[in-house]
Amino acid sequence: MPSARYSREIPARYRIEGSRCKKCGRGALPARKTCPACGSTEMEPAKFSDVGTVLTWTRLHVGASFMTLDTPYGMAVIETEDGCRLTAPLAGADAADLATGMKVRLVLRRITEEGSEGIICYGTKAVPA
Amino acid sequence: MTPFGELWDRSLRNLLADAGRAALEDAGIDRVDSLLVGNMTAGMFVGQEHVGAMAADAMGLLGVPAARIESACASGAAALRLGFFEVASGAADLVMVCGVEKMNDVTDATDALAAASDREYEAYYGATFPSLYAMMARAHMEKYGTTVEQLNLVSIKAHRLGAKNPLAQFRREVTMKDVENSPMVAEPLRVMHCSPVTDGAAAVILCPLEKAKDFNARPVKIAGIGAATASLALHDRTDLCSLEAVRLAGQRAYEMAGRKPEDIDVAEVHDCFAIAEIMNIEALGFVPEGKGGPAVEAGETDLGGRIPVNMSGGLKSKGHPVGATGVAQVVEIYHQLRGESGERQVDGAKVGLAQNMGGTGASSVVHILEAI
Repeated sequence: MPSARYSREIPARYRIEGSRCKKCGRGALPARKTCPACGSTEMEPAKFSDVGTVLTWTRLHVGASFMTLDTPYGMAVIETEDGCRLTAPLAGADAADLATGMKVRLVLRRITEEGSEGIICYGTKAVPA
Repeated sequence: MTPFGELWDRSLRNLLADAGRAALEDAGIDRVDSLLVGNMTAGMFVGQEHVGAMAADAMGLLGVPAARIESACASGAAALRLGFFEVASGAADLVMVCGVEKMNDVTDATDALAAASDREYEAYYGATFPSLYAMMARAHMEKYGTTVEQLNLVSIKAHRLGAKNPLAQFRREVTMKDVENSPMVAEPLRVMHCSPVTDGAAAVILCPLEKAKDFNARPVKIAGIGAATASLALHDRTDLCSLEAVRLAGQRAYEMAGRKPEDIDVAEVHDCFAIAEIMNIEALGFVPEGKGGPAVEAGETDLGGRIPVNMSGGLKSKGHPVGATGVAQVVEIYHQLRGESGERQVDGAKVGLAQNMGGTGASSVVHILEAI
């Protein structure tokens, strides 16, 4: 991956920085000019909480090609306590504990790496809170 | 329409030629004013872009204006919609719309298909299409009480009808046990809840209604079209188990056709995963929100039911060559409205609906067709 394409996403992927709608309060990740919920253009920069709740989840038994070594792995749609939505892998949880409504903490983790001389790709994963 | 399946002896070029030439012959013509090709990603599947020009070349139509139209898995219907507007605008009298996808020449079609999700914020994290639909399925089950057994019944119906479709990829029936014992892909979805990787193409010819009888003794009318979008990423949708783009596209198509959901005699809906058929029949107004599962269980969507859905075998059994699917759905409705669908025929079908969808429902196109 070209390094510029990777580095552009660092604020959202490493630090959960996006924008928040001044009108309805909904968070957006990455930052946007318009609110995904109400369409307002009054958006302000926001750093979101690393505490959130699982809205829905799955466990992949056939994963993405770069995740072969991690399969099976969990995946969830998460809402942070301050109203930001994101999709993130679930790490460090027993399969039996995965559940909608589960409280999670968002942490920086390695996602994949592009061969021995490529970029090591980091991003947000969710672990049990 | 070509047979759908793993067509090892047919290339992208062959598929375009097969479907295109068959459509020209059927209409008794040797030229069209415009050619539109629905195709999701020949660039990723076989390294070939510029599919409009390739199609014109392969079909022997050189000189014709041609372009490829892309809206992920809704590319076929998106192309058809634009073809309709070309005819309606008066810019063209004869338009060919061809949908095509050659998916079996890559080793990992799932990675290519992930391009229809949010690459940076879904696929980047290892979310695949089955996993995104699995999360929609779970949300639907937890909100409305939809069951795995109801998902299984969608697949069983698809295969029972697909077994009667000579062009389908999987012409065999499956049992509840077959579905239950198939490998898990992304909980709660198993292999038998997922549409396959398919090669295939389908083509139709459009012309003004008043000229249609010059080319076809029993033409079918496009009475309504609707298209709409929703957020690219699933997580940005307020309701994770409702397909807003489908609801809007349906509403627009019904309005244009002057029809209501209860007027539809037969429908093809985008069942890329079993849960999608359930969510789509809700979004199209065939059943109330949340009642898709019980409707399937009661046989309402089966042949002979209140609203027969996916008599072709659907994407699950007929196959899902992504860019071709939207056109192939309309081909099925065309045959249904002409009463020539054999053992899968819905008696007396006069009004049909075809619903095509891209990604996790980020785009959708609905066509309403009528026998004339």
